[in-house]
Amino acid sequence: MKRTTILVADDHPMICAALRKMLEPAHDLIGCVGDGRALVRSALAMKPDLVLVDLGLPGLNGLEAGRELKKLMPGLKLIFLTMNRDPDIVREAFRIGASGYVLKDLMGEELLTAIHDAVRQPV
Amino acid sequence: MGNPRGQAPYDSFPRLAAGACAIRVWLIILAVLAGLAAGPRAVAQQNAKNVLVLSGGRGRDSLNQMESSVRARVTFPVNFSIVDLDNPRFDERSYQDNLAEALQAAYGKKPDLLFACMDPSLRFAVEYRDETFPGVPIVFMSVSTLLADKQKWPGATGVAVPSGAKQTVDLALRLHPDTTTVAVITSDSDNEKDYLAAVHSELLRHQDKVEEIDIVGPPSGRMLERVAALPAHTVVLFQLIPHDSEQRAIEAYDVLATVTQHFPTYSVFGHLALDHGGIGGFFYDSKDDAVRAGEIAARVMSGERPDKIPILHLSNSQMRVDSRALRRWNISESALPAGVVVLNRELTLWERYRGYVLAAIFVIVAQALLIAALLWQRARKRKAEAVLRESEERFRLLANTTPALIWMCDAEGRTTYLNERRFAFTGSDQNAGYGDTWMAYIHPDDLPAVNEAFSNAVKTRQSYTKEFRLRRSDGTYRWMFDVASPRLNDDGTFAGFIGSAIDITDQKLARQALQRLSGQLIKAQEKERTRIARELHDDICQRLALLSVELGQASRSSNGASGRLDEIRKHCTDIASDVQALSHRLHSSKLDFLGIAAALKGFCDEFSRQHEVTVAFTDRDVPGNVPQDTAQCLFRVTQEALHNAVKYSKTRNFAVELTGSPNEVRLEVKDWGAGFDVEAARRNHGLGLVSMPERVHLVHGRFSIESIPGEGTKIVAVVPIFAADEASPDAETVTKTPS
Repeated sequence: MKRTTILVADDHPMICAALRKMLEPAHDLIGCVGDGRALVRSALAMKPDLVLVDLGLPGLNGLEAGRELKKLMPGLKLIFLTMNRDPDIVREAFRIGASGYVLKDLMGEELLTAIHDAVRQPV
Repeated sequence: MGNPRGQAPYDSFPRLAAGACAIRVWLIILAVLAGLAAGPRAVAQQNAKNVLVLSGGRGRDSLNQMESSVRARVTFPVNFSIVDLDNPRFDERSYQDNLAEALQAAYGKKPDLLFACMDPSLRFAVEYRDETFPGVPIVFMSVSTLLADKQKWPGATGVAVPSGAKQTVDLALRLHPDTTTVAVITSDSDNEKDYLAAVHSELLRHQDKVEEIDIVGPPSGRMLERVAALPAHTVVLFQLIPHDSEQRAIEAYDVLATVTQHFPTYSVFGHLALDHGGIGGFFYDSKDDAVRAGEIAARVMSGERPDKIPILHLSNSQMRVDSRALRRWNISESALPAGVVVLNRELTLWERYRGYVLAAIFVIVAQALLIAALLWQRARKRKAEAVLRESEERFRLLANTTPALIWMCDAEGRTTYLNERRFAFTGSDQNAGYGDTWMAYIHPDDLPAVNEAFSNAVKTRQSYTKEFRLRRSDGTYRWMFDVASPRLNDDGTFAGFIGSAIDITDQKLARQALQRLSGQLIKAQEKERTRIARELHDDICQRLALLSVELGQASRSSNGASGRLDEIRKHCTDIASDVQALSHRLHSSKLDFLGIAAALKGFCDEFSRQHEVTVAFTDRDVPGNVPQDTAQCLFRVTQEALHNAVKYSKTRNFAVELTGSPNEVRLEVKDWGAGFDVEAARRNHGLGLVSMPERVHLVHGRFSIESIPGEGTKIVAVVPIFAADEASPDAETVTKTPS
């Protein structure tokens, strides 16, 4: 089974480190960027299967960067990983084409499940 | 009856030359015949009454007055036939007989009345009545009391006049107290003898003081000699009656002229005393005499019997003196007894020129008044000018020492005055005069607005204020605050403007600095809130999230303690959630992620829940490119407005409306609650009322509050939307927001 290539966008290094530790066994974490513009650039260059995006990114925020990526790479799977519980923001995330919305304090099995489900989703 | 002799009347003597006596008698009779020939025929048809008047030389005026008096009192026509008696010959019996016969012959029918004037006529009429006109009543006038009272006059009545002898003698002796002799000059006619007797009788009363000398006879050289022989201190009573028809070498008037030349002369006959050098005497009123006699004649013709009508004695006689004679004999008018009438008085300068003098006085007084009025006017004008000068001096002193630049213009807007401070400020040449106006010194950017404001003010004549930059003499532009008020003339018409401009540059800079400081404070506050929010989110929340994840992993790998770990993990998640909420309250992440409309809607919903009120939010056409600082401003204004509203409005229903247009966004927050006095709230520096406008001004927007006590409040903020490349210099982009 092909391993899923994942690009992480989060400006908190410890989150990146935690994700790497959590995802590596099953997936390939191909990069971790700290701002929205770097995310778009890296995604275009590295063409991952899936990106994990924090909402509060410097430069372009997570929603703006996600909106841009979905426009440039419609097949790219997008999962928001954030502390923001605001339902309006959740709705907006799914409206722009996110495959999942996971709260950081629940990023254990839930995140892996979300990635699994996202990858299996048709484009 | 004695020997009647004609007597001249008192008021005048006919001085016409007379012809021979016989010729004269017949001429008179012919005249009477001519008159009567036509008269009786005419009057017979009218039943007129005829009066034969024996004039005795009485003046025509007196006879006319008598005739008028008669006609005024009878209803029938009356014809008067007048016969002049030739006085000098009256004492001649033959003359009287001839006259009586001529009258009888000429006057076939008896007249209804015989009218006799003066003493000789009365004597003649009474004596010849029975043979000429028997039974005809007689009425007389001008008959002296000397004769009238002498006897009974059967069938006759009339007016008796006083002789004046007593009064004349008394007057003469009073005015000449040193008199030793009184000479009486008269003739020997019956009439004159009566007067002589009367005078003599009076002089008897003074015989101890004065001697009486009678010079009696026709005027003659002998008489003049006797006059010349009279001693000093003699007073003459002249009673010699002139007769015009006499042809004498020396006439009565010649004697009179001599007498008056040498002696104070008096007479009982007015015309002798007053018109020929005499001093005066006691005389009766001839008009009254004629009128009263006419009355009596009318009564007799109307049927009254003459015997039943008593003789009327005239009582209104007067003492009269000639002023010229008084002067001649140095008699002061003050010596005259009361009631004396002074005739021929020479007018005094005052009396003569009274009209001129009064006119001159009037002119002088008028001129003096005019001059006084002009002087008063001049003094008043000078005083007013002095007051005006002082007032102007005060104004100039005030205007030139005040720190303001003072100007004045006329009704057309032309500058008419600039104070020294103004010239000093701009540094212009004072010799340029009032043509040196403001416009040359105003900043080109401000000039159109200033021109427009000034033109409008001149047009509307209303006060105005304006701020503009004015170039100072050192070339720098200073902000000025100019206040102008209309000036009115005395009659209320518009005279122009007076204005003063003060340099507000420092205040303006201070205000700008304050605004900047205020803006900086707001920005700093926002920045600090954002930083704290980010710290909470980026650091604390992430750590709590990781802690929570790790606790989850530990729980799964632990034996027996998983329950406890899950519990700890749940606490950790709750803390993370609370910190997250705190972070979002400090800075709305929704504003960053979803824009102002969604952020405000979310806030309104949350506010409604928290405060249990209803906030109706609507948005329309809000553009997606509202800059962060602008959005932040609108969000904070909404927060502040709703917090104030819920606190003070005493209502639970609020509305927030956000409306967009290509260039600006309009926020309206309103309620229908208690409302408040905006000015009072501003004076009390309500923080919200200060910070909300400051926030809006910071993003170059407009802010307004409308509130009426009892009717609610409406807060409006309108902010412009700048494109990214034309963002205001003050705008600051928030580059990092918590997620």
